[in-house]
Amino acid sequence: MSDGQRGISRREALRGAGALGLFAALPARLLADLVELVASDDARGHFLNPVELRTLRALCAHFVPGPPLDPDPGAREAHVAEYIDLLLGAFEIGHPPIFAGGPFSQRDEPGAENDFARFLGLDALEERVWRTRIEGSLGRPEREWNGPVVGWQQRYRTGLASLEAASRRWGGEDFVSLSDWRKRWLIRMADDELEAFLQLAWEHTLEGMYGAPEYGGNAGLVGWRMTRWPGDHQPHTYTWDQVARVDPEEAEAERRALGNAERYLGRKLERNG
Amino acid sequence: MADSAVRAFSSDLAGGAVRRRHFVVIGSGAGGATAAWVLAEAGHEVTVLEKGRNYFRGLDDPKGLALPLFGGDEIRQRRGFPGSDVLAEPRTGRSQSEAADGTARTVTGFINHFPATVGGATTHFDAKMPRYWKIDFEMRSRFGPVEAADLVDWPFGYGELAPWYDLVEEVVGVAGDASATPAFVREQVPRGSYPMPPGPPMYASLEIARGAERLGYEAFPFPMAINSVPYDGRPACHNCGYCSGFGCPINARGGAAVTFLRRALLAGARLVTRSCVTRIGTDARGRATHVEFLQGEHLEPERIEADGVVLAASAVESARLALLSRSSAHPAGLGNASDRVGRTLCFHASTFAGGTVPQRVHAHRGRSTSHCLMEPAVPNTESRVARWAGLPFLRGGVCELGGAPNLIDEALAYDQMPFSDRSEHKSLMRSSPNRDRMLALQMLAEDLPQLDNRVDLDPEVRDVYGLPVARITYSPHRHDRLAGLYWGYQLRKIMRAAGAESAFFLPHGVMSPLANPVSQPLHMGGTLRMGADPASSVTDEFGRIHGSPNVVVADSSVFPTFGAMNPTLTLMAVALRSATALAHGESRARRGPRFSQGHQDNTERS
Ligand SMILES: Cc1cc2nc3c(=O)[nH]c(=O)nc-3n(C[C@H](O)[C@H](O)[C@H](O)COP(=O)(O)OP(=O)(O)OC[C@H]3O[C@@H](n4cnc5c(N)ncnc54)[C@H](O)[C@@H]3O)c2cc1C
Ligand code: SF4
Repeated sequence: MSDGQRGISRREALRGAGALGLFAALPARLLADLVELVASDDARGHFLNPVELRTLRALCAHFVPGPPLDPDPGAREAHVAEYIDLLLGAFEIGHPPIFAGGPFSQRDEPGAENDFARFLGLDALEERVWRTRIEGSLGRPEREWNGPVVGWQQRYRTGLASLEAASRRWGGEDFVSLSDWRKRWLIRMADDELEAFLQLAWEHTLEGMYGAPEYGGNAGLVGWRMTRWPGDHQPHTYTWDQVARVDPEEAEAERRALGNAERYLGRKLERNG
Repeated sequence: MADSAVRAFSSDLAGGAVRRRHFVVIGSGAGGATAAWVLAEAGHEVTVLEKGRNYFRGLDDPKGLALPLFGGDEIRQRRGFPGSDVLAEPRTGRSQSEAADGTARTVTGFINHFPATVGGATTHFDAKMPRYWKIDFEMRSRFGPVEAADLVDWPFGYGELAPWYDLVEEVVGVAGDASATPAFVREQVPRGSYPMPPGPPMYASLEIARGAERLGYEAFPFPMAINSVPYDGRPACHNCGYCSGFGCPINARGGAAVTFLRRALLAGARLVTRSCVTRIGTDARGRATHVEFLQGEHLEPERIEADGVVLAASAVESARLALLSRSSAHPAGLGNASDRVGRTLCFHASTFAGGTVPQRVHAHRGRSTSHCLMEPAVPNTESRVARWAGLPFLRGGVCELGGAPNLIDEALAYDQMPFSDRSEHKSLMRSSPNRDRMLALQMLAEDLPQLDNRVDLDPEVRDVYGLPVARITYSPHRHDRLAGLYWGYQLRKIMRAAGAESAFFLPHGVMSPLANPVSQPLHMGGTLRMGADPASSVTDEFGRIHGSPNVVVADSSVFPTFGAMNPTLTLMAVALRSATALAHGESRARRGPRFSQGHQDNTERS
């Protein structure tokens, strides 16, 4: 903990909590259970059916492969498809996990209270917007301030179906069974509509792979470990030296950088500071 | 903390008889919070109407602030938290030539959106707080005219604003080092010392600074409203790394909410959240009488009477509100008799330079930047490039030295690489050329004002409140493109001198400034310009709308030119001055804050 952090007590952090009605209790454990429930191969998702979920798992794992194609865990191991399914089914589970709470995850302190896991409550206006985004406008005038909206649910439903259809047409088998290079070519051949869906799924895959685990993805922090990304672990942060200096194991690489600069400038440089 | 100046100013405001009036302040961000504080301290009744929700805690608690609900969460940020949801409130855009062809819009979605929440965009800003330079107030007379640009001088100069700058720096708590500031900058912004010393330098910033120094530039600690030591009851920054684009989880950053707004609330101002103002109503003479708004999560229509109104919804939204406020006295929109509302919209012209280095530079530790260099902000009247292009000068702007701190952003950045089919995704994420091994620099340059760069109301697209959204017509001036290109080459040299194995730059305008959020500087101004002549400006020098003098514009809409520095310190200083005129009359505002002995050039106060 850096100097600046001293003096912020948990009591202070919690003062006023609840007074604004922003919190709602969706404990981390429950969320993890909700994901776990879906993670087995024949389970139904919160929105997707088992077949759709299987295709989505294969698509996400194609985007970010794990073993044996890659030594590090990938999207399947990170529960990315389950993350997406939870987002699509956000309004099916009572308390939509749209905005995690704050300020501190206290991830480094086993057993400590995790503020992220207490999701913020949406007010009526936010709920209207998020339902429109996820469920679509469904012909309801209050969701059509700008005309009809096709929601993410429908985009996934039709997107996954057209991926399967294309797979059978071009590859002769379902998407899950296609070899990796066939998947790649199939994706390259996507028409505009399928391409738009794949872009949405790609962005969601990155969120599920590299986002905070409280949302249901990045299981076991595999996305962070692979990238050497610490993620939020406040209130633990960095000291002055950790901010200002290169890490000791990087010193050799730093010397190479100095050499690059020397070559570029054509003269010998002293490291100053 | 030396808050003597703040106390002296407050007691000066509170002194003297005032007729207590009711002011409605629209927006609780940088401009609104600042104005609300002055008006409340002066003894007026103040109601702040804020469209968004409040994620701070204890803002009005005299015992102290509690920690807010912000945190280091990239998913929440991508989902538009805390209130910049583009599905709910899109903007539309087109270029000048598309507008001339009659194209209604080519972009719908995110265009320089600010968070709509208590504290406005300063909940997310990373608080770089340089002053505008002397020449920024005199661009027309010193360097103009420029063909196809509407370059003008400000109605006042640096000397007049300097004591207001001092006051803002003290309230928000700016950390900096006057003695490390290069002489050419000190000459432009003569000043005393800063309220706090700078915080920890970032390794990535230092590496670029070293490269720059090898080429003869003088990099120095960026003046920032981020506590390096405990200040004003708020803790020192603990270097969490989730800074620009995230709310500060410990209130170490001196945004509007925890500084001016908190002081305003403690002085008696009332904050009403989830209040979306839809119109400012006026009487037959054109003076504001009331404000109409949609209240609460169910958007109940409400109306509140006012003796005066402060408009501070941010440069795009304030212009939009003026255009929405049509009345018999203002048939073309509030203050729009000369068709100037929404015109001369300026962003900053944003040029990036980056380079991949062998070592990991961990830009995710600490603030978003810690150092800057300012040589590019010096207008070059000898420039051969400028002469060749028929321009009287070439000017870039302030450069922020740092790196790339976010992980999901990194993954998306690789998509921009040519022929990227994502098959290299994991190896790129592991070796991290675009994040953990990247040195990055952003130059925010002068964006010359043009009458055809403007905000108007989109004829078809609506927001969730049922109102026409802001449509932005924008094309960079050829000066701005050239300056981006010229400085891009120079900045790339800096990356190489810092040891980059591969270095690149993206000059302003190369990525569409409207379609590509990455190239959007999140700075904007100029849409309700101040000036003496109602034919060519919207407000007078105190932000009072011509023809509606009890409406004061208190955000960067009033900037006649946009300068070559981050705008918010200047925005707040101007808002202080305008609000003082509204509270106590213009002679009091002209006199400057009471604590000031008048500004002395080149004097370093300690
Ligand atoms: C990520 C990020 C980083 C930045 N970094 C810097 C920096 O380092 N330095 C710098 O100088 N600047 C920076 N900026 C810009 C800075 O935040 C803005 O210049 C400043 O906040 C503008 O102040 P404002 O009062 O005009 O608008 P805001 O601060 O946005 O306040 C406007 C308020 O009005 C409210 N509002 C809008 N419409 C209505 C309505 N109809 N009814 C009621 N309320 C309404 C909004 O919800 C908002 O709260 C940054 C911005 C962002 C987003
Ligand atoms: S880096 Fe410092 S100022 Fe920025 S958000 Fe973190 S604690 Fe706040």
